[in-house]
Amino acid sequence: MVVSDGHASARRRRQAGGQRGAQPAGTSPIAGYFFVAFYVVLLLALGIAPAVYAIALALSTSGGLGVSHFVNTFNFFLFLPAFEHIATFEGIWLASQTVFVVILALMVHTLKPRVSAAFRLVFYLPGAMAGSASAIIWLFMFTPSGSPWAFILHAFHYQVLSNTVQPGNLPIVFAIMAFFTGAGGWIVIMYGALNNIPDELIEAAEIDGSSALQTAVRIKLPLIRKWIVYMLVLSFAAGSQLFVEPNILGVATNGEVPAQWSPNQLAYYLAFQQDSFNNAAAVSVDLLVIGLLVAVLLVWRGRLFEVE
Amino acid sequence: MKLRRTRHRGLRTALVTCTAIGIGGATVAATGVATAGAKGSSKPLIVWIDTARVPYEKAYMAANPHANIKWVLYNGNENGTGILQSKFALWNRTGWPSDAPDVMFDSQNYDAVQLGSAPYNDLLNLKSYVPKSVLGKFAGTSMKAGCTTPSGQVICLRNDSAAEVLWVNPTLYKQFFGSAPIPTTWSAFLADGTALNTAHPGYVIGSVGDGFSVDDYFLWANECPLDQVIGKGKIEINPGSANCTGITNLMDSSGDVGKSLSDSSIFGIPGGPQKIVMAVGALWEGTAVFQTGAANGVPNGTMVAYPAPTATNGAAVTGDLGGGLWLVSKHAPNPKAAAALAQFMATSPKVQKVGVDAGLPQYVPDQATYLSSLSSVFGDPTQTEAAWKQAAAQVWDGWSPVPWSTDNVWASTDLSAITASPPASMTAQLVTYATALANQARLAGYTVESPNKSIASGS
Repeated sequence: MVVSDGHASARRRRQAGGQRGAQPAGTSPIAGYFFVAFYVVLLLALGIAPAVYAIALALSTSGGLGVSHFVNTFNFFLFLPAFEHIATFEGIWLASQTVFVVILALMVHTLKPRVSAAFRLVFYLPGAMAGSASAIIWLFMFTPSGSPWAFILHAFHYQVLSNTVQPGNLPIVFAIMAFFTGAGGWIVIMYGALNNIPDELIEAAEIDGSSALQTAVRIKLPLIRKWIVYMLVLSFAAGSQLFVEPNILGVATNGEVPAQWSPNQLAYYLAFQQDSFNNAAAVSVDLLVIGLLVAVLLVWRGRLFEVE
Repeated sequence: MKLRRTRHRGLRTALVTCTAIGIGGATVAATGVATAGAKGSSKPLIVWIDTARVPYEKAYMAANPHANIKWVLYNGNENGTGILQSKFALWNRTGWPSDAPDVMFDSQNYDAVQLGSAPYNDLLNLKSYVPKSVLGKFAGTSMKAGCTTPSGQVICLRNDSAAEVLWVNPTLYKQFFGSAPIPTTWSAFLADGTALNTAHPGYVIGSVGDGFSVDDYFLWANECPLDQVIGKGKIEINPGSANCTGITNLMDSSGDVGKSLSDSSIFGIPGGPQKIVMAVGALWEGTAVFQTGAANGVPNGTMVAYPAPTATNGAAVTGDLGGGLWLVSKHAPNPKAAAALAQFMATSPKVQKVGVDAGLPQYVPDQATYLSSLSSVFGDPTQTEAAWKQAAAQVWDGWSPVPWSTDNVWASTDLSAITASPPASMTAQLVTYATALANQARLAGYTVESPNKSIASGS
């Protein structure tokens, strides 16, 4: 983060320098190791070990190590459509989430504190529903006969639920669901990031004649760039693993949303409905590789871990 | 410095010891519980049933109060949730636990063949446990169609018949059609719907709004070969067959799709089941769809079952929508007892006659007792019973149980086109449907035979 000249920043620099040398009195490194140890154990047991197992399963064929499972799954007629679906969904969702979250966070930041807090609460509330609960609520919203937004659905000539969740609409349907659940939390985080910007900087800009819009675009936006990248990395990963919403919609519509719509669903289907764990592992490893590549790209180009 | 290191080492050691004790204790506790169970009386039979079979459980326990059986409620594997498939897949990898079910009720009549064949192979071959005489007394070709693998193993027992009849509300029918005879052909049936479209909109003769509507009510009942297994691992999918296009052309030209064949699910017709003049539907729909006797439903003594319309090719067959199965696990510790229990549940009149909702027993000798309990529920009991028994014996066996759900494929491929306004052509949807079915067949390792080259080869 940018550290400008000032008393607060000087104190911060002294503390940062101090932690790399002798321990300040009263702190113990054992606490840090303790907490990190818990995390490392869980990471190994629930993150690294299953990933290694999946990679091993995906690469073990009847003739030793090989990529035949990757080739076979790539040729499944469900494979490319699933990745197309998730790519479309991610494109629509990430673009709209980034734009709206940044704009709303910037606007909320300019409001008086109490008004700002009220708005942040309102934005945050939909996020209180976990994936499955929000899927049920949206199911109700998307059913023309029961939805309070029926007039919007009727304007599209949707009379029954199967009209709303027709195949072409699904990426948009899931993007809407994901946006409403996730946007609020990210607005709160962006607001926190904006609060990190020293007031002196903003005052200096205003003294120099910058309007609210120019302050937002030229001063605040570049300073929260890393947070935007952070949001993109986490959202991309979460979105690529979409499972709960299409699964619930699939069960509720009796199969109209196919049980293999997203790649994660495809992997689950291959493992648990076809008893074909090697193929499922191959699809999972594909997802892992894509997620890692995008994360590396975003971290590198977004300079997420650089300290200026 | 030295002092600090010792303190840290002490703390670290303490942490490690605590974790070790914790893990050790948990393991001991788990083993202790397991051993205690084994030391007790012999292991109970574990039976998985769904909510609709709870009256069966009560009837069984009333007849055998000291039976050593553990009844577990689950969702009956309904609606493609694939509970049994996912559990079996997991247990095939990790080993079957002691609380795995020995006997299961499955509400999906296409499950047995998948679970009893590779790669699952988890169902017991009942041929050596259930007498041939008993196996031969199930209605029509139901055992051959749903419970016999291509290699000849008998891997389930049919519970209830879900054959299709023509449900008629005689009050409404007389009101709209006077003394005209009940339709016996599909063209007459659809023509009645066309009359309703303009004269009495809102009244329906059925639905196309569910995934199962078109394939189970219309295509199956007309011997349309879109799901016909013709040999081991070979399936015929021919959307161009006259048996398929015959009925779809009739549906398109009648103009009923979206009007008197409602867009909504048959369970959710706008205005309630009182808007259904007549509908082709399964036996169990008499209570489930029409809510017979319930506050929002059709009053007791109204609905009458007539034989479903004759197929467009003249064959006296009907379709099927459901009908549960009794499965026995190959990994049951006591296969003889498990098979005996499954046989009892499927064939004993004490169990099979319980409650109207349970459905007509597929086991023919039980049908009479069951039917006699219905006289207060439906109108014209003689006609209804005769239509039921006839239908149960006339289900076309050419719509084979396969490891994919033909209903779900229709739902994900064609349903939205059919429920759009205006609806797409049903005949045109046949090819889209057939292509999707062929892809699913190839995914499951079947070879597809079809005069349509692109469907047969998948290119």
